[in-house]
Amino acid sequence: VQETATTSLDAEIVANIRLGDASAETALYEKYSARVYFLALSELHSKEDAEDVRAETFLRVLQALRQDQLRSPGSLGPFIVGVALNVIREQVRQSSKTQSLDEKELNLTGDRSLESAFIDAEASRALEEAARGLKPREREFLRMYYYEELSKPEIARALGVKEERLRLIKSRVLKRFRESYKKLTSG
Amino acid sequence: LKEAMTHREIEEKEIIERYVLHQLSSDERRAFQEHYFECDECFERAHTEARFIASARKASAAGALAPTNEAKKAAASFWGAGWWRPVLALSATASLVLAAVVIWLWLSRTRLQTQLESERQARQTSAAGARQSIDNTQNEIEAKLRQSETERARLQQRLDELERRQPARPNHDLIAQARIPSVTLESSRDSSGIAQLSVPAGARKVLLLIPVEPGNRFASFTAEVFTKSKVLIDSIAGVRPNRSGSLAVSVPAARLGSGDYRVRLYGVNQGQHELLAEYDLRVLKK
Repeated sequence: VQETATTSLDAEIVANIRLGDASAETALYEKYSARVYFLALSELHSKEDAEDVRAETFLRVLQALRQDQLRSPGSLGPFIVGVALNVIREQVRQSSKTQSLDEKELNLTGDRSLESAFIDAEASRALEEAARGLKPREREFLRMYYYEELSKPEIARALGVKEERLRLIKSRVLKRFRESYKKLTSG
Repeated sequence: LKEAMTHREIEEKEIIERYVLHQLSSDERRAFQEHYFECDECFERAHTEARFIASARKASAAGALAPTNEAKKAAASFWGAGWWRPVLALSATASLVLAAVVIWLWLSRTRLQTQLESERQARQTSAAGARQSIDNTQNEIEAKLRQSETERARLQQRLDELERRQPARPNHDLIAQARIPSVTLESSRDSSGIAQLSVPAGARKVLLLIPVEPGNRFASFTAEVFTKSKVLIDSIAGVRPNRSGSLAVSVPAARLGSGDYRVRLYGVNQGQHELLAEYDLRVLKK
């Protein structure tokens, strides 16, 4: 149902942009802006670069829509994904060239980690609340899995639990984290 | 055409987590990106999971998820107090010492058992040898006894035969002694009376029989015969006791007339004379 509704909405947006409707461009941006940013952030682990990717992606998508280059209005999402990935590749190539020229002086790489990309104050507090009631073995699992990057079979052997138990632990903690994060961001 | 990713597939393959951790293949990655561009729920879940994993990493790096902290808190009332450490160390040390002592005792016991066993075997061997030696000696003695007995019986038989063949001969010494006048002297202190000796005519000598204690310390005895007026008429030296334990002192009958005499007996040892007794004697010559 969601997919059908999305496809219908996308077709309407595409049609209106082709007609020069500015509100349609705003609607397009509101619908896909966060996704493009998340995609770029997931790939580059840099908020600044993700912002650049988002801006460049929407610039190219709008140009393409205005010029009626989208073959199927129902595939707007995959089209934006393709454009965003092309922008990212270009940026990575450009960044590599820059690094090779002035790597030490410019330090363009910065802190490109998952933590720097996705952590904010609310996320830290949400995790703190979610982990508060955890048993030592459950906390050990989180540390071994996400920080030491051990496999689940390895952790299961080390902690003496079944792998299925690890999935349940993660699912439970993640749910508590989500609830805490929502509460913190909505307040 | 690429197939669209389903929620079931996303759930079963843990696609969201693997996407955040960059563990998907490029095709899977692209498929999931296209999926969450159309799916609000998966986009929200992916974003949340990315925040969650990032936060978990940061907390782990900061030590907030260190199990030791939790464990210390949980066990602070008991293990955290630390009193058990010296007790545990002491117990472990005592156990080690005890184990060493037990092993040492066991080894000593084994060594002593071996030593005792070899000593016992040596004793058994020695005792068996001694028994054998004793048996051999006993057998030899018994054989000699049998041989001696046989020899004695043979000699006894021979002696009996000789005695039967030899005619009986008169004992001239006893006969002679029986014809010689004699008298047994008793000490004048012990005797109330005086010893009397009848000397028939024709007697050549008389015998004065003086009993002496058996096993005395004298090599020989000397007897002196005095008249009543203390004139020495004879001294007989070198007298030794006969088989009946008496001294047979022979005095020529010619020197004795009828009358009273006194006889003194001396014990002789290493040339020294010791007066042992005096006897009174009355001689009646016929």
